[in-house]
Amino acid sequence: MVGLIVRLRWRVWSGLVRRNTALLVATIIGAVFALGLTLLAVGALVVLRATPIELRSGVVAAFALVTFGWTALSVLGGAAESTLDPSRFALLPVRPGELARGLLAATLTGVPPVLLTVATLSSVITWSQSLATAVAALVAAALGVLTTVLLARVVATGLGGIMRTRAGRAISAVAISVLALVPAMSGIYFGRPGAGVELTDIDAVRLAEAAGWTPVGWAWSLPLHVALGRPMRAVVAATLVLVLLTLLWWLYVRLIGRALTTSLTSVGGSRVRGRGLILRWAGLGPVGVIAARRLAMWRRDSRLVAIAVQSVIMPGILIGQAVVTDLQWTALFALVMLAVFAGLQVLNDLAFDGTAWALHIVTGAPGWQDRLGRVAAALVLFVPAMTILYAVLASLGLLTGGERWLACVLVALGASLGSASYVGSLFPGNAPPPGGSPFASTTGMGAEAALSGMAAFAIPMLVVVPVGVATFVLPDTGALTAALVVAGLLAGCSFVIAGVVAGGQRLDRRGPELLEQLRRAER
Amino acid sequence: MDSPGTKRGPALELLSLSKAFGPKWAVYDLSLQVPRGTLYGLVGPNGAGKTTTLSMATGLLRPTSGSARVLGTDVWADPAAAKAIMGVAPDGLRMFEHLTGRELLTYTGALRRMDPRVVEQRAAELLGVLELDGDQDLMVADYSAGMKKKISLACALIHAPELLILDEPFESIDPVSGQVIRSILRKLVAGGRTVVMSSHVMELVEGLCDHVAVVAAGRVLAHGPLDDVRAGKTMQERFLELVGARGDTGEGLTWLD
Repeated sequence: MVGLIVRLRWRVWSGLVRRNTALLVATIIGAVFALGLTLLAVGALVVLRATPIELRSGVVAAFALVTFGWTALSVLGGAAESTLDPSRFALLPVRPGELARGLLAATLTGVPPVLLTVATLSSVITWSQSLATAVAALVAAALGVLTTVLLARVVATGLGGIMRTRAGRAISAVAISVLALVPAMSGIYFGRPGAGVELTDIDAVRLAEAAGWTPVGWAWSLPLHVALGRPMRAVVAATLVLVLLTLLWWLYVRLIGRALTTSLTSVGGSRVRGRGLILRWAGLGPVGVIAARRLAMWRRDSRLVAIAVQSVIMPGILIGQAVVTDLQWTALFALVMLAVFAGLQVLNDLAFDGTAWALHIVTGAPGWQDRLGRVAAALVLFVPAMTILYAVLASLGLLTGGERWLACVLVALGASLGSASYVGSLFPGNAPPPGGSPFASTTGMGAEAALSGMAAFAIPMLVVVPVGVATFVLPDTGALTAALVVAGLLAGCSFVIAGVVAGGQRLDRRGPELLEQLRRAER
Repeated sequence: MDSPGTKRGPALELLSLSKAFGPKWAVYDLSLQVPRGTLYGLVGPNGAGKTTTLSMATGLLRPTSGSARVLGTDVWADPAAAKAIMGVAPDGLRMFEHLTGRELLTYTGALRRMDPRVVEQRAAELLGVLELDGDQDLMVADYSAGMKKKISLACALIHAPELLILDEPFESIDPVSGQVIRSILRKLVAGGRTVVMSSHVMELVEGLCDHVAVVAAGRVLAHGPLDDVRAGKTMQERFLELVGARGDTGEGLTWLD
């Protein structure tokens, strides 16, 4: 059974790769990168053997961080058993325990777990000062790898279960996005001028002890306890790990058992009360209902929650940075970033619609109305958001010469919406399938999506530069500031009009071809 | 040549339509005329090219060669005019699942630039007749397959099109709803409109359509009034004869005895 599932996993994977060259390329690049990292880690682990325990014990904290990060990445990557979904075995007479063993073995044969195993085995060299520490390191490696892989599987699969419901997906999207903020903010905090955190200040033993008390560090702390001559602590840690592994295994089998019996995604039964925007804006014609639908999607489609949260987080980080470091331009840059995000949501709009967009083709709705509706929805949402951000920045006293910066913001918003409106009509972009995890990405179209994303990001940024220069260079008089803002508004509007017209023409000409691309992406 | 206003000429005319996907021809040199006021069935085995043909006729898939005309208007030369006079319920494409049934109808009406009051009234009637009024405020994502088929049909009907093109309209439809849809289609035809539908259920086509075309491997094998195509046999027999059925049904499965 175990061998069968391991072989199946690789056969499924090779089938995926054969149909999708971009996936193969991405995998190879990823594998080469991971191999490089692993070789670096192995080298460091060998070198650390000769260092004093104050430095050497840093290995414990490092591996604990790897275990934690492994779980976080599994959740972010939507990797709740993507190659072999346990619910696909629902029709076969297979017991959860058997299947769990097979799936775990299959997971362990993947490239990342193999490289992790190589790195952890090298830590035996780090701890090879005595036979006892070496043996402890070997046991730690085995238990640590198992903890890492099982924890990630259980958390990702468990969250995957929660993400079956619309509300669950939205809540976990918010939680994950906020969690993603923590490392960025702590980086800004420790990296601020005068923070003065030096490598020599870190007492690795204390760090290792702290990590050793956490579930992700129990396994990795075994050799440290032995090296420090504390066999009892080592026994306690080992016992804790074994209890943790037993619990994780029990949970894993339970989760797989549940996947085997509830293979269908749950039905939310969500009713919409009252007259929504679509019914109220029907009188405005195609542009009105397209904008209304797009706005309703923000509330109803959990796939968009992740984008919404990211749109808030990015400026949030920049403002945080401005407050901590007192670098005012980063706060002003937050406004420009939010403007760029407004465009990015128009960019992938067709992919979020998927083949449902066929309705626009079948009804013969002109392309420019399609584009304008989406741009209008972005404006309805982002203009108030940017106004609020502007007010927040002003109240924090971070806006000196704020009126002049308005020109930059207007140009950025117009250029970003305009370019996204056009680029989005060239390539439909990328989106998770409806009802999928907000963080799962569709494979395929990789290079194209990256290119269009870059274009939609780079164009507004490039356009803003001359305006920014003018903001700095022109003398600070009321008349010139007013002229600058008016010019910014006109330029912004021109970008939007150009993008809507050009994008609309493109949709009118190539609509069926775009639909065919969307159809292929859904297969 | 007919202009859209003239009362003569076919409702749908496919002229040497071909579609290649890579080296494979899904539809090859397919020509067909659907007379006005008929309920026309397009039948064929799985993979015959029915959906590809209908997609090309409705402006959803660009033909490799050939043309399609709706009431005299070329679908690919003047798509806006052609799409204004036909209603389409495609198969195998998603719908805007985050809208409710009522919203989807309103949305479709607005895309067709209809008066919102007319849309609201027609939507209420359509939802009632198709027995979706109880679930009109439920998101389409939570509809069953049969309900999705029905709301898709309602969207195709909202602007009272002259030509209705339906891809597998009876798939996943329960017998009660099926009867409702049959009577709607008959009513349309009785009023002088034209319906083209694809199916692979011969009994259904035989009981409902007055004209039929048998398609296999991207070509038309037979077409015309139902009785002419049937040639005195049942549609099932004639279909198997035309498509070339295999006789060895169930042989060799002795372990199932």
